[in-house]
Amino acid sequence: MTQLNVVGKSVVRPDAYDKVTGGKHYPVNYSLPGMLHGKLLRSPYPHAKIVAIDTSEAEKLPGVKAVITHADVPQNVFTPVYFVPAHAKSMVQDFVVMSDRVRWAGQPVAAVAATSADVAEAALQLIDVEYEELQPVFDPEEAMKEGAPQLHDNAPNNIAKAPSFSFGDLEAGFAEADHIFEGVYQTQRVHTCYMEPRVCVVDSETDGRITVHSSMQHGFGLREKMAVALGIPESKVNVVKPTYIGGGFGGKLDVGHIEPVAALLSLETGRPVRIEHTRGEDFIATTRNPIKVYLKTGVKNDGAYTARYIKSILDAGAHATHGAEVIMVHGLYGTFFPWKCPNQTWEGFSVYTNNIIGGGYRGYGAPQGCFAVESQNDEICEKLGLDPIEFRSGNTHKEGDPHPVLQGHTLNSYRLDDCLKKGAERIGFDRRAPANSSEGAKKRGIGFACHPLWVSGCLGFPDIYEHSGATVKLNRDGTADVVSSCIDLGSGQITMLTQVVAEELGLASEAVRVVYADTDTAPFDAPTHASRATYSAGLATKAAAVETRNRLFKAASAVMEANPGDLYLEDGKVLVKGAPDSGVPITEITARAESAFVQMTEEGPRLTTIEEKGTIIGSASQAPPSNPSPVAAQFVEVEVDTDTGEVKVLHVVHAADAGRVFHPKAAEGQVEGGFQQGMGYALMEHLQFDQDTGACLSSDFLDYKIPTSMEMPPKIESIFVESNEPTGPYGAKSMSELCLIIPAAAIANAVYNAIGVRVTELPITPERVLRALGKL
Amino acid sequence: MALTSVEAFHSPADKASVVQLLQKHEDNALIVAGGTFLHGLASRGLLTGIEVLIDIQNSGLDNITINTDNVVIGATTRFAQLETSQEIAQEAWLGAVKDAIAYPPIQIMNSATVGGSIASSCPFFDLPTSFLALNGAAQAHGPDGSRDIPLEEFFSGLFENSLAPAEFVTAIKLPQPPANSASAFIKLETNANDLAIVNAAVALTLDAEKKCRQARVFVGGGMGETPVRASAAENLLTGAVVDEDSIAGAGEAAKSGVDPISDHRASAEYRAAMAKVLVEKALRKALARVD
Amino acid sequence: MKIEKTFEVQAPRQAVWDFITSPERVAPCMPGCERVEQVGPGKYKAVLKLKIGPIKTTFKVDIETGEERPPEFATYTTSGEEGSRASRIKAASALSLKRLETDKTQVTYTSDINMMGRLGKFGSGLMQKFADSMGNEFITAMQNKIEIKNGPG
Repeated sequence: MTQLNVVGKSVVRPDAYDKVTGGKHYPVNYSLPGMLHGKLLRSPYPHAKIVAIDTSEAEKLPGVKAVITHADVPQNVFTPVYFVPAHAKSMVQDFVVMSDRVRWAGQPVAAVAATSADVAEAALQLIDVEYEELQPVFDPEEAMKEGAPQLHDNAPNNIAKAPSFSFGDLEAGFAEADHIFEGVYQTQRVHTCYMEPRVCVVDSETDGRITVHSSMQHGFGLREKMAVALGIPESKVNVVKPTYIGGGFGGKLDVGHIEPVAALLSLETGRPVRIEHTRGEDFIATTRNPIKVYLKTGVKNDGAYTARYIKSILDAGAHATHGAEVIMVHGLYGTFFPWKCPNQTWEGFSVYTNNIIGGGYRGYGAPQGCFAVESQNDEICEKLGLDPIEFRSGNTHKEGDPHPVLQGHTLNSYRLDDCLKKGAERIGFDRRAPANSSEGAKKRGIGFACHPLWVSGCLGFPDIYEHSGATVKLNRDGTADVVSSCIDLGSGQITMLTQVVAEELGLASEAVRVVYADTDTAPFDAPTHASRATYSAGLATKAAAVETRNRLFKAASAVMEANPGDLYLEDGKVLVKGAPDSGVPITEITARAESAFVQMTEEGPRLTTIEEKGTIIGSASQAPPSNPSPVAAQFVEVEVDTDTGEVKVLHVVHAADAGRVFHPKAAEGQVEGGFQQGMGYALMEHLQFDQDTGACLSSDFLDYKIPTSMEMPPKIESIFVESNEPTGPYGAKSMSELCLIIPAAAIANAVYNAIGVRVTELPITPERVLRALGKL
Repeated sequence: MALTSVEAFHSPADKASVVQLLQKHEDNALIVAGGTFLHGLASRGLLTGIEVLIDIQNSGLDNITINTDNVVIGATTRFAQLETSQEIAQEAWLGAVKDAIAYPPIQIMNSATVGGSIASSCPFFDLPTSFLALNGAAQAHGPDGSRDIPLEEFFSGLFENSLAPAEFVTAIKLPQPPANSASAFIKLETNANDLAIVNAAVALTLDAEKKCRQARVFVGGGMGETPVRASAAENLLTGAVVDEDSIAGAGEAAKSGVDPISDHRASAEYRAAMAKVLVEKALRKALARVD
Repeated sequence: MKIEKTFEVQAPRQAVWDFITSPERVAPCMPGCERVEQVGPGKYKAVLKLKIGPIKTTFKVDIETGEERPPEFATYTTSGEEGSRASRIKAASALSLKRLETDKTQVTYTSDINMMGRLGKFGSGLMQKFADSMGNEFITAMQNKIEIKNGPG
């Protein structure tokens, strides 16, 4: 690999100063003159038909400019998920922006635009909705039973989607097994807890064009879904890329209600309309789908798998949306293909209930799968007295193996064994005592888990967009501008793009700026999700920068009278190979490229060449060549208070193969932030709903608990084993989602090691620990 | 939801003006100090019909006075002020107060007030449990002047207290106990910014033979509409040597004497079990503080 | 939220039945009940004003009698909303009266209450305690009324 000057270094994040001084470019801070404020009226009932809505009193309230109900909203049915086409065959189309049928408590049934948010809020209370209540069903297994309330006409037994995979001979595999293990593993509903709420400002033109500003993860997805929702051509919708957003984590990967509703209100009033979710509204806008995993595994005495049967029941909530894809990813990459088992069957059920609609959340089905499989793996090793590290190593893939899912692709870089070995060494796994062997009320335990297969994007997934594009332009002052639709969620995409361009153009990273982009002017990019940005957008931006460099060399070759193939870049200069003193500053080349053919000088007119003229610019739009798997193993040490049931994580070691690490500090930040989300999932986070009314009981941070800095383990160590992913930009592939896919399983295994009993339902609350210990 | 019904915000400079405003606006007025409880209710849309807010932060009620027989903490004393008080940091008998303010995050420390934590009568707050164990009284000021209301009478229900119309809390009074006294408080919470799932406070006075002369034991946080007194535990301790046996007995007695709520944070069963665990832990902690 | 209360009243069963089923007599015993009016056979409208510390609310509810077997059993459905529409309430209740002695009646009252909206966010835990105290106030008030009226001397 050639020497790299910018990639691999912890360069200063260009957005850091702006963010720590208030971050004025967050979409939540956006406003326009004359802007109205919208609010949504939400159904108190989880399942109902709207008989009548009377908005006349609301319309009379001074300051109210427009009121809309389902009758004003196009009844276009589509999939609101950004990363697939609105009518993708692999997905389920069951969503309309507003309907006369209510399927979850909190579903918007009307909206108001007014001169202030308070007036809009007051107007909501003047809207009289007459509902006919229907029987709700909240439990997916209840919803699958005959006679259960049906949510959608074309989904018998409320099954939105029931995919399955199988290979080998399951029966023969179980017959061959020396031991069979069975378990049920249940995960809960959680929220990504992005800091910036879902918020948008939508403006409209007299010709029906609309411009959208929104805190979301995919501009082109939003454009497409807006067009479909409103029944207008895509070209009538321009989505402005947010400079950055206050977090998404997968929770802003679908058009919900606010953008189309704001557009309708804007079209009706001719004024820009802003809608911002309250935290309580955000908590019911998206969630990681709970999945109940029934897991049966056959193993030989030596720990080799012989057979595995998996049944996964996913609570999709009121509409399938992400639930139709999460179940697939959970099956493929969460449970089935990560592990090498010769005889396997997986059956998945994505089931409608009167719960809130599921959304994306980093890991997208894998945390639920990893928790189930790695919990059971731990049980197997414990019961059979097997070395848990050798057990993982023996049942997973090896570098050079064919990719288990993608035909024709190879696991070019795959260092799981190194991750297991180095992680175990660092935490001192050999000092691990047998389960429940420490004295006293506070018991310590060490556990680990790994996840042997994940993604760098979505190449190979049916219907999922994957290509990226960028334009790179050199300025006369020696800086470069990058136009990219890749949205920075906070995880450093802007920094990554500047590193790529700086590397290719021989600039300092500070000389590269990611600038304005919108869907009218910038090339397409898939969303920032699925650990794809560095790999896919990084490769496309690299290709654009190479185009720019080629253009620069073409101009330089005219100026310098050298062959373009003999030129190279260093420290802001173009040089001729073999003549290190020959350098001409890039600024001089770009200045000449942008100047008139005849230049007046003190010595009189100077003729330049036609060949050197024209903006030094390059662009690319391309799909990535593959979908390499990152891998990681995570070791944790916990302390369990057996009096109160409280679990404290003391030490974490995350060992990852991410290919080349682009930005070491940012990578460590991803490990730590990811662990925080994973630990919240493991120990405390739980979106809870009243089981009679479907009302959200944890609609703010008083009741929805996430780990604060005070609960974070005092020691988190990141180990990056070096590997080179040949298809990736500079040898890189993805890393970040694995940081939070694994913690629940690792912590569950450590808790088992501490107390000798296993909690198979998340979150592992103090109460569940005490129940497991038989103390309640 | 914003407090859209508020029409006036007063910041009176003395107690008499506060009373006058309360008399004028009656139920439509609400006292505000640090604003943490008010914000909690308002953000859930629970405060309607409030037309007047009376900010008492400029009413001269933020002093901590150490007398020979008691400690008087002004109503608008912030938690952070308590933290810097020498007496509270050092006096063993005030240990339960020191413990209770060790939990909140800095934002609460800098805004919440002692009077607010009492007057809001929220069963999940921490200081009320400590003050009850310390046999505290609320000093109330109203149209008829000032009076002291023992906290056990003061807390009368969920968010309800026994203040008369136009009365408000001006201070908390904590009587100085005999020598060889100590107190402690413990809270069970999910993260560092949480209401108590369960909390417990105990105050002990030992005699020369290390026997318990007097014990006050309270459990809060979802035990009911107010923190509850574990009288059976107190009776068990009084006259006994405070050791692991009597501590276990007191814990068990505390557990059997409570009828906690079940909610999305914890079941009644878990809360009852924790009443025992926390009372025991608090007793050990207090015992270690007695000279 | 489920509420179940069993208590005894020192009065004959018929007297208790008459009392409980006549809105104008029972209403004053209900904490916060401002007004009850009969709007049809077995149909009532009531206004309930509740106060939980600084939280004030007014519910307008419709009460409808379902099954009725005088003087021992009746069911009611209650539904209504706050004046501001910020909360809705729905309840299915049952009342049964058991004769213990000539002048002693056991009353069992069960109610399955659903609260939606801002007040529903309290969760059932605290509301249960609150409802319990309200129930106890109601019982005490009612016992006083009937027992004074039917009491000796």
